[in-house]
Formats: sequence, C-alpha cells, structure tokens
Amino acid sequence: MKILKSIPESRLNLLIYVFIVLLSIGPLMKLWEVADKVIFSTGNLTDLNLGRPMIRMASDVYFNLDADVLRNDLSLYQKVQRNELIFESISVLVFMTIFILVLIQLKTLVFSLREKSFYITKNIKCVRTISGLLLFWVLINFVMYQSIQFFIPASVIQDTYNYCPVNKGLIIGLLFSIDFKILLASFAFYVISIVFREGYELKEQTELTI
Amino acid sequence: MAIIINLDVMLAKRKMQLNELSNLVGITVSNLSILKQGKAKAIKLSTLDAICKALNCQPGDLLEYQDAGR
Repeated sequence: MKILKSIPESRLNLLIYVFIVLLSIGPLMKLWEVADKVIFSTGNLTDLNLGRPMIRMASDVYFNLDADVLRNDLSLYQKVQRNELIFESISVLVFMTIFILVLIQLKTLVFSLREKSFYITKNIKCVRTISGLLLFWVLINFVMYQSIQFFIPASVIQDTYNYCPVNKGLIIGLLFSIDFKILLASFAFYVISIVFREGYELKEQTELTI
Repeated sequence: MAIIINLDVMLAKRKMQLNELSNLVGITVSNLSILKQGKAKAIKLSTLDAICKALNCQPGDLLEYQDAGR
C-alpha cells in the first residue's frame, strides 16, 4: 500500500495501461488469426479449436471434423469456415469487452487506495460492478458454449473434446458449460462488496458519533 | 430514527447560542450542529454528561423517544 502511494499518479496510470495492453495481446492475436483467415483463407479446418479466447483454460473445446465430408462438399466447407470465423469474432469481442471493463473497475479501485478512505460508496459500486461483470461473463460463456451446435453442423463433426451441450444431458452439460472459476470469482467479489458496505456503514457510524 | 434530540429546545430554554455551548463542553460547533439536526448516529455518555452539565438538565430533557409508526 505504501509503495502504491509513493508512485506518482501519472506513472501508476501508465503502468495500468501497459498492463491492460499486455493482457490484451492474447485476444488481439486471436483477432489477427481470424483476420488472417478472412484475408488469406489459410488454415486447416479439419482440426477445429473453439476455445474461449481470453484465458486459455483446460475447458477449451476441440472438434475433429470429418475431412472426407468437407472435401466432397465445398459449400459445406465454406459454411463451416464462415461460421467458425463468426463464432470466434463474437466471442473475442464480447469477452475482451468484459475483460477490459473489469480492468477499468480494478483501476478505479487501485486509485481509490490513494485517497483517505477505502470504504466509500464509489468502491462498493465498483466491486459490485466487477461481480456483475464476472457473472455476465459466466452467462455469456454458457450461451456461447450452447450455441456452438448451431454454428458447426453435426454432420461434419467426427469427434469432440470437452464439448457436451445441455441437450445431450442436463447435469453433465451444465458442468461442462458453466465456468466455475469465474463464477466463484464473481461470488468472491460480491462478498467483498458486502464487506465494503459494512465497512462504509461502520465508518459513517464512527464519524457521526459525538 | 425514533430518538429525537431536543438540543435546540433546551438551548432556547436556557437562552444559549450553539457556539456558547461549544465553548462550555469542548465540542466543535459542527458536531453540535449534527447533534441538533438529528443526523448523529450515536452519542457518547461523556458528551451527554458535558451537555447536561452545561445546560443544567437531565438526559431525558435532551432525548425523546417517538414511535416511528405514529
């Protein structure tokens, strides 16, 4: 905390922006990959990886596509390629937006450390917003996971790894599609926001005790 | 809150100004003002003691309970 207070505000701001840029490299590379496919139409489509692109997790989804079916049907091949691009683009943009919004809220929190009190209404809102954004992340992740089946036709799928939508089995589908790490983080932030509110109320009570 | 502080009433009865009371009890005018306006969340017994001594009254003269339902 003392080190944080000793750093000049402009330098801290710069550090945070550098951090945001560094963390954005992954999604930007993914976007570049998508753009590369659009412009140069490169890449082998028989091994499809529909990973959730912000943070590489063990829960990434892999598809082995039937090469023979794709080779014989050019329109199907193009459809799968186009759908993959659409899916990747949507997921990169959505998750990157949520991620940057969370980082902006964290930046506000870090800056408030420099102020007299940490228990202010702005911080309570900030922590609650982070919790909400993470919950939204889990929801979007669930929707994206379930929607994969509408993007990739079942006829071309040979084999899948880490993919089990809810229509194949409710409980196992939910276990696969809910990102429990992010959900847990969302709950943790919600609990922190409650602690912040309690701290704010105690501070106000102390200040108004005469 | 259901507890009402009648500091302004007691001040009027004793014909005393807020800054006069502030000098007598050693509490800032802004804090006494918070107390007078009923914005205070709690009051220390030492403060109550000092105000009662300065205004020559009982705690019951300063504090009043009013049912919120009324």
